[in-house]
Amino acid sequence: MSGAAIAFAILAGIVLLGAWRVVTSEQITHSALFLGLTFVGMAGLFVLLQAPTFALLHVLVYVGAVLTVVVFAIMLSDPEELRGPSPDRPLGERLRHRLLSPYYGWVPVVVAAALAVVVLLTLARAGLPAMPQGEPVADDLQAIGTEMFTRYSVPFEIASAALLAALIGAIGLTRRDAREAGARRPGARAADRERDRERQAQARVAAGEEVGR
Amino acid sequence: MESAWLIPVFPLMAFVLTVFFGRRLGERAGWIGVAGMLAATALAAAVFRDAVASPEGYASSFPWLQIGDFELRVGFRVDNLEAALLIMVSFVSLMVHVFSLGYMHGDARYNRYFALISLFTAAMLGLVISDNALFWLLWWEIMGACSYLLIGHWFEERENQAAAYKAFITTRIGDVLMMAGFWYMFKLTGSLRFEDWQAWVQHNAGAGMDFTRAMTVAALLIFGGAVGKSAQAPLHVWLPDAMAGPTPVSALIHAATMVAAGVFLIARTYFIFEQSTTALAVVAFLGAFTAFLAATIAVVQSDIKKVLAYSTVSQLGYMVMALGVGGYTAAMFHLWTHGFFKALLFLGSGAVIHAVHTQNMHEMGGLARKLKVTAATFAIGMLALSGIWPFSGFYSKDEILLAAYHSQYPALFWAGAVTAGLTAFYMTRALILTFFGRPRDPERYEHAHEGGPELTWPLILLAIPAFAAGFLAPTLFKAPVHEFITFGEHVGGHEPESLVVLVGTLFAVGGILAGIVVYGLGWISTRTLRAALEMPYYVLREKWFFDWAYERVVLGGSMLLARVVAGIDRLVVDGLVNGVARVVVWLGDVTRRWSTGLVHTYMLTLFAGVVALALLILQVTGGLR
Amino acid sequence: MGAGIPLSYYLVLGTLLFSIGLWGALTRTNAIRILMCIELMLNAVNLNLVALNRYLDPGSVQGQIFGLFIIAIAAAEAAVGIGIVLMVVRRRGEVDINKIRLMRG
Repeated sequence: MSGAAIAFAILAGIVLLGAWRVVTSEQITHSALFLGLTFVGMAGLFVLLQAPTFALLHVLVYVGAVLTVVVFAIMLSDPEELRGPSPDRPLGERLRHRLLSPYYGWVPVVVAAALAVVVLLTLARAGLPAMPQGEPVADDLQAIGTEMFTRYSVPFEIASAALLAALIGAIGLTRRDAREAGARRPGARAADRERDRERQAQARVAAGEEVGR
Repeated sequence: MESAWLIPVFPLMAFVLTVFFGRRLGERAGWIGVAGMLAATALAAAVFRDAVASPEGYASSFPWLQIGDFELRVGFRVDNLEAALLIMVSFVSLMVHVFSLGYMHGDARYNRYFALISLFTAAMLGLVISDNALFWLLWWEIMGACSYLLIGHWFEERENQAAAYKAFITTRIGDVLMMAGFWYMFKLTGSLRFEDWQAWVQHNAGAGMDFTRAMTVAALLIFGGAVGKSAQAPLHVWLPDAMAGPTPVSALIHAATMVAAGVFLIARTYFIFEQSTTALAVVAFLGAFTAFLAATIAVVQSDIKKVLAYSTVSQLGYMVMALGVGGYTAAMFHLWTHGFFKALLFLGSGAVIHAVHTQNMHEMGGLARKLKVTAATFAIGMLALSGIWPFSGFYSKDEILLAAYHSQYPALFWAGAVTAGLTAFYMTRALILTFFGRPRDPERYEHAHEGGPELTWPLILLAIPAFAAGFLAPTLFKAPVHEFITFGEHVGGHEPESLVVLVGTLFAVGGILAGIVVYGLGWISTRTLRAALEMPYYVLREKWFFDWAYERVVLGGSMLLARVVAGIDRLVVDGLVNGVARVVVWLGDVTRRWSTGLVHTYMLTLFAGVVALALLILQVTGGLR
Repeated sequence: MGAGIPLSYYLVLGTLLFSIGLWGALTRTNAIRILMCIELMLNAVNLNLVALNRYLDPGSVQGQIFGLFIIAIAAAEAAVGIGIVLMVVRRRGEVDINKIRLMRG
């Protein structure tokens, strides 16, 4: 077995294991961590495929940003949920539930399996070569950069616009609206606190002096 | 003669003007119609004079439409026959217009009436000079429509509506047959012009069995149109009912013009009939039968207009019969004279009705003393109709009897003679019941009075040709009638035979005497007659059961069919439509369950769909495995 | 480096990864978990893309470019998705999608 094959086996195992545990972990925080593991494994595979720049970018974005956001979300959501569902149902029942219930049991399995079969069949019939058809690009960073800003400059701009839209959308979505927090101008809170302190101080003065603070 | 085409234009313009300005003019609008007819009559007279002067006629046509190879030429032709008809029609119509000024005075739809009779006259005049089937159809249909509108003039009464429908629908049956005949001729000859048809037919004459058969078919189909329009059996049933319309309408349409159009149709296409002895035989016998049938029914009618209506059917039958036996000249001549005296009779009855406000002769009597002019002119008309010398009817009816006598079916001659007797009888009856004897309704008698000049002058003016047109014809035509109105080899006709004249006159006079005996002198009472002839009387009263049969068969059948179709419509069609609606609603219910609101459902559906699509594409592009 | 491994291995791995992610997205009730599964699926796609790029057309980087776009959009989608989840949490206190059935027809 060549070194590449071993590397592939290990990395594939990591990826699959990670993916599996993402889905099946009881605790959602575990899921997030396994997701990170999967991402790292993927990066390794990309390196194996001689696309180091891609691997780098993959890690930067996914692990660095997406995963972070996911973790934040987990933290900000219901703490009860964090502990995961209580495993009080016996295994037999859980298994039966899995098998019989359409939504959570066999139908998704069938669908997922069918999809996998279809894709594999298509790929099999496509008659793709088994080995690389040539040498990879020498400097892939430069190649990516060049392509991105020449041939794919328009999609690039569109993607930027999409990201901007997502940004604005995400912010807009999660802003507290006026009714919820009471209409407050920026810096109003500080002013409120200031006012409260003043009042308290005056109350103390009026109520009889203590130690002036 | 070149401006003969203008003749229909005058009444047509009168129609248009009356329609547009009638409201403003009120009852003065009637004069527009009269003016139009005056112009038309004057021009017709001029054309007649030209026709008399020159032997050959005048024809003019121009190409109107070009469709591929087919060129449609339309135009008009004026020959001796047409010239004579033009003057007759326009003169009669003029008299009717003038009469209507008085008769229809105070009517709610005065202007509509005048507009329609002008339009009608225009159509008839147009028909007479048409040289092609297209125009013929156009004018024919316009006349049918006007007839419907005019019969139903007082459409507030259900019976008037019904009569109008009956007229229209019954003639429609004939119209369809005629159109089929026209279409057939078009298919055979590739043209719509009568002269082309004539040329083709005469070119192919004697070409064998197929040709004869084709001509028989064409002739019989066209004859269908005549049967409808000219009220021959079995499509005669509309004419008596059409008396529901105003009397001047009856005078114009159902005496002189529209009903004559059917007979004229046969004359126009006579070259086709010539080729088929079968068709001619059918025509002759049907005509004779109708003449006899109608005459018998006329004997037992109480309504003076109905008597005249059946009389018209009978006289038309005469004309048809004449055509069937080759008496072209006889038929056309009778058509001509009949227009005058029948219109006179109808207008006369109109004057009577105007005076006593009833149409039932049993409520009249002794009116001669009060309505002198009416009575006198009516008598003249009656004598003409009965065929008494020297009135016009004598000459024309005599011609017909002559033609029948010389035909291969002498039975027709005898039928004609007997019918002539009956004709004289029932007309005498009508005359006596109306004008002589004791007034049966003193109230009415008291109030009866002669109408104004509008009502009396037309009677007088019509009485002149009714009396004299027979013996004056050769003078007018500047030729013997047989030469003036002729068709091909039928020139010369038959020399008057004393036997025929004798027999005819005998029957006619006999009829009159019988009438006087029964109704005038009362030597044989009607009661005795009725008792003796109970069965025949019943049959006659029931109009030989034609209407009864129509009601059972045609109406009953139609109603049955209607019920069946309605049932199908309700069950099948509605069922289908409602069924579809129900299915759709059901589908909606089912698919509604898909919107569960659960994300899982949607995702599942989505990916299941993706899988399905992928499978489909795989299958389509080459199959699995 | 990278030699000797048939293309099919990568493709099968990608398919498996995708299936796992799909199954998880269809089966789980926690909204955040579902989003994570979606990320898995997107990753699988990227793997396929890069692998095919390397094996079929090594001289170009088209597959990687495509993959980069996918990464970008995936990130954007994750952000917005998380935002929505947080909004829902704020309103309903839930992340169980079974209990969020506002669009029930």
